[in-house]
Amino acid sequence: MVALLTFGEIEIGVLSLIFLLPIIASFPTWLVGRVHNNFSKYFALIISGVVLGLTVLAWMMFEQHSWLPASLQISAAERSELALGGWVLKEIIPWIESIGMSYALGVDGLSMPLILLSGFIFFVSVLASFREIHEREPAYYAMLMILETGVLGTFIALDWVIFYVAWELVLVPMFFLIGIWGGPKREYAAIYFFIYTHVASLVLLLGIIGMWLQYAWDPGTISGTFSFIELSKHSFDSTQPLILLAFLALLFGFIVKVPSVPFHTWLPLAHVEAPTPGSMILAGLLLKMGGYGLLRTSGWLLPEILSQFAFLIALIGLISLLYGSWVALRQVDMKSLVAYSSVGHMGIVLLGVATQTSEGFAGAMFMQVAHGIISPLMFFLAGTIGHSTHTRNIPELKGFAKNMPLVAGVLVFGSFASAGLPGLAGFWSELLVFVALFMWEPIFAVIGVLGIIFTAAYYLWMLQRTVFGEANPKLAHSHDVSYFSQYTVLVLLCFFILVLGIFPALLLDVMKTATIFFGA
Amino acid sequence: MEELTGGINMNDFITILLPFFVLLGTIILCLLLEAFNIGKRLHGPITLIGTFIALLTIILDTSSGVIYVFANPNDIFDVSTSPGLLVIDDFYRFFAIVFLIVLMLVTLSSIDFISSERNIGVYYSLLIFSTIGMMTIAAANDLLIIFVAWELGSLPAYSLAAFQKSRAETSESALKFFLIGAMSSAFILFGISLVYGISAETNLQSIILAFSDLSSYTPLHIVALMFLFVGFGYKMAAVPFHAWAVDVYQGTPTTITSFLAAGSKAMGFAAVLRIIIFAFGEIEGGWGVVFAILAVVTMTLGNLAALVQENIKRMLAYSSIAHAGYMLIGLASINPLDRVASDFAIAATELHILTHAVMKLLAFTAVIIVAFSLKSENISEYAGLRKKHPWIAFGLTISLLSLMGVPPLAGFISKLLLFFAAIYANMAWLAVIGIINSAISIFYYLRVIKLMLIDKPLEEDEEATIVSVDRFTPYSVPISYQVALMSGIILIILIGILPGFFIDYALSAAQSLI
Repeated sequence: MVALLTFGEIEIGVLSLIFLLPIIASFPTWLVGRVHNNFSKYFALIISGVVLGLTVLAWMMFEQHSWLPASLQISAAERSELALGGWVLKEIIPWIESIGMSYALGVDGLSMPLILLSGFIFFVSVLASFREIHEREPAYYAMLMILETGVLGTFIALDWVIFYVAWELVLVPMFFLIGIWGGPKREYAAIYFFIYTHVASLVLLLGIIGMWLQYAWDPGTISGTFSFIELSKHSFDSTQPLILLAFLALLFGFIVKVPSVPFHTWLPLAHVEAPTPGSMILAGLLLKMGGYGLLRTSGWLLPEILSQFAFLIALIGLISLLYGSWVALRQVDMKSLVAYSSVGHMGIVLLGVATQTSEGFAGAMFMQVAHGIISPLMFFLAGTIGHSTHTRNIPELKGFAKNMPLVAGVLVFGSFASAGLPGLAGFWSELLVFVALFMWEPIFAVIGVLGIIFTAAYYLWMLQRTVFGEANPKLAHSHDVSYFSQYTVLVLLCFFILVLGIFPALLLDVMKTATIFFGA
Repeated sequence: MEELTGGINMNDFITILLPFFVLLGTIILCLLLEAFNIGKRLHGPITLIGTFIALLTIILDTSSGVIYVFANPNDIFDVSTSPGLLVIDDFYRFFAIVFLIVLMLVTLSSIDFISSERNIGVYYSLLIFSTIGMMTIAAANDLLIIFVAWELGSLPAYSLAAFQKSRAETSESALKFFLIGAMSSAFILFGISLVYGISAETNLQSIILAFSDLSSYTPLHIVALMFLFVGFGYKMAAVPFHAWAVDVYQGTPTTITSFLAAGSKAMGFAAVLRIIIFAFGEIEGGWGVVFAILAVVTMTLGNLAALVQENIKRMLAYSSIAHAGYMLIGLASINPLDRVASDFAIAATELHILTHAVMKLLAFTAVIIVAFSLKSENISEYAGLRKKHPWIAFGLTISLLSLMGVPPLAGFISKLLLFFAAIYANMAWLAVIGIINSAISIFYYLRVIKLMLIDKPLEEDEEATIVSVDRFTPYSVPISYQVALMSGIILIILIGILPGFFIDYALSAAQSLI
């Protein structure tokens, strides 16, 4: 009934609510925190819970779930559009008509899993903040809420300007999250992060403008547009230098965010210095924004141009995978090890995109979601270990399983999931991507498998040096997780890793419309 | 239109020029109060109300289209559609709104700033006089009117710069400002005389005809335009005519600094935009390249110099120079052969003038408050400002983020349009340099934000050693500053989120110009 009132008659769509609710709630979050520190965290938890609920509702509408009343079901016309690579739950309001810009939101098979993931990870991160953040809490939770709008907006935007605004909106709260609540080198890390990613965003903006102009100059169009819908219908001529440059600019913007070697240097620094929930969001969602942008651009908007640069993308992906995994072997800080493993895993996303097949895309998209759940778990564990033992140095953590058996157990589980053990979430994406790679260019697959071996190696070596063996006497004071919020975080994250590992079809079905479109 | 020809011209004349009359009335009221030495506290609010009414008369004026005033030498009240001395079009309306917003915000931040001074009525009347001059420039349709309005806009500003005459640095900077200003006026006058020598006309429409004939082009045409651009370039603070700006911005009272950064700069651009149309007949891309080079030099120098500043007013002055460079991108993108692209470029410039004015006013208001509270203008003193004045730190952060071009704030939209215009005009390299400059500018803006919001206050270390009474009496921010801050923040966010209205208005202003 409530859903009907909100979405049935009135024009406010569920996506607008998902997009705008967190940022509108950010000020009240800060305000209630001024009354009592604890209020802000519970308020943030409620809001992120509501947003999670809304994303689930959007997913049910997307899936045409039988529980929903008829008024919330998507019409058959829209449904058939989805099969042709279109979007559903669209909300399009003209914004600046003179340059073809509109407030446009929508979901399809590519963005739906990421929207669910964002709602979920933010909810978990708010929970994870309960025992981590004790300073300036009202401002902290307000920042998290602004960040949530930015991340969700990036995924549901159907217009380049909305996309860009949301993309940039992420930077400011993340800058403060790292800069205020971070580790000892936080100020340097925050500024480094901001400048690096902001410059990349500016290049991205050039690419967006270039695409607009090429669209305007192409025969058969009157003026340019930022609309994903129009751009995806338009086929660009891959011999035009402007559109090639625009694609390169977009690619640069995305691979800095992903991040790929050689533009990855901001990531380990930001991860090591960020507070644990910040790291979780950074690894779980912010990197996915880059991957999403790349998938969206290359699969929907500029598929003709992708084939020109497929080898370049594959090469960057391959180097990221090998270099990231290789460097991860040498890391001493546990957070930095997980950060480099992220570089490697996101390289697999690039490899999947480069294959230009539906399997490759499905694998890349699966990796986005799987890594989006596994890496927050790993960062949460690293943060918890650091909090409890006062060190994250792998050599000093020898035998910490003695005092922290639960954390150690989950660490083993998470490492295996990240290394791609069959039956866990990480496995399916690697399988799909490598199948696609073998069909496309076997040489990339053969070299790429080396990266998977390194991945297994650094995780096993890390486990061997930390969990097992004689306990380091300095760790005697450490204690296991003991709060309800921490248990919840662990249980939720592990549960979904297991579910996606055992029932990959759950996710693949959602993405099906998107990947089928690409195959055709 | 029927009314125009129908003979009720007196009425139309008054309606059209109502903003000017309202402002003149406000001046007279202020000066009368001053003369009889009553209502010392009333000057500010009166100016505010007068400005607001003037703003309303422009916004509520439904008559659109182009109307000329003072076209008929026999009937001074004649309002016609044939070219006259003043032209009332959307271009004038847009700039008048910008200037009146500037005046309102400057007045708001002056109310407390100037309250302990003498001759407050004179201060406000000079401000309004200067604004009238600026508005006249936006409406000018004749080179002589441009010159007279230019002087009307500048001379009160010179005396305002010297208003706090007891401070030595104020006198120095005011003198510098006056000398440079007088020189730029001389340039403009010489340029005007050359243009008159070529075309035997001062009316802009006639000059366009004289300049549009390419075959008769002589070096004199170019020299004449050069003199005009150089003269206006001083007020725009474009490199290489920028040297005065930093010292003057630092030395003058901060309210006047914000007036110069927001208002005077806009006046320079309004004048250039008014006359640039007759440089249109020139060889394709000729002026575009000149302006593009000016833009590159201006923004690069501004941004690089701002990196090393320790005084916040100097930093904002250099940032203001850099923003003049961004605005010049718009001028460079004006392409005589492509009407749509030109409209777009002019609209982008206008919008950036508006957003830059609001951002700078907000930033300088915050600087004024901090200067009162901390007795310092050093950037390092801003450390931990959030503890003392959370709202000021917030306002300054919004302003700096917007200057940086972070969405969804106003600065992003106007910068986006400027880069857009450059790529539209086939000057992608200019947009790339603009983007590199935006990247450079992050460093100095972010440094202040970091100091304010992340760092701890300096005093926490000193507290044990220095015990000063001053430190323990917290400065409470007067209501006028709070209103100025709030309206600045709201404007920046409003333009950022709902830019459609402003862009459309700027576009129609651009269309009415050409």
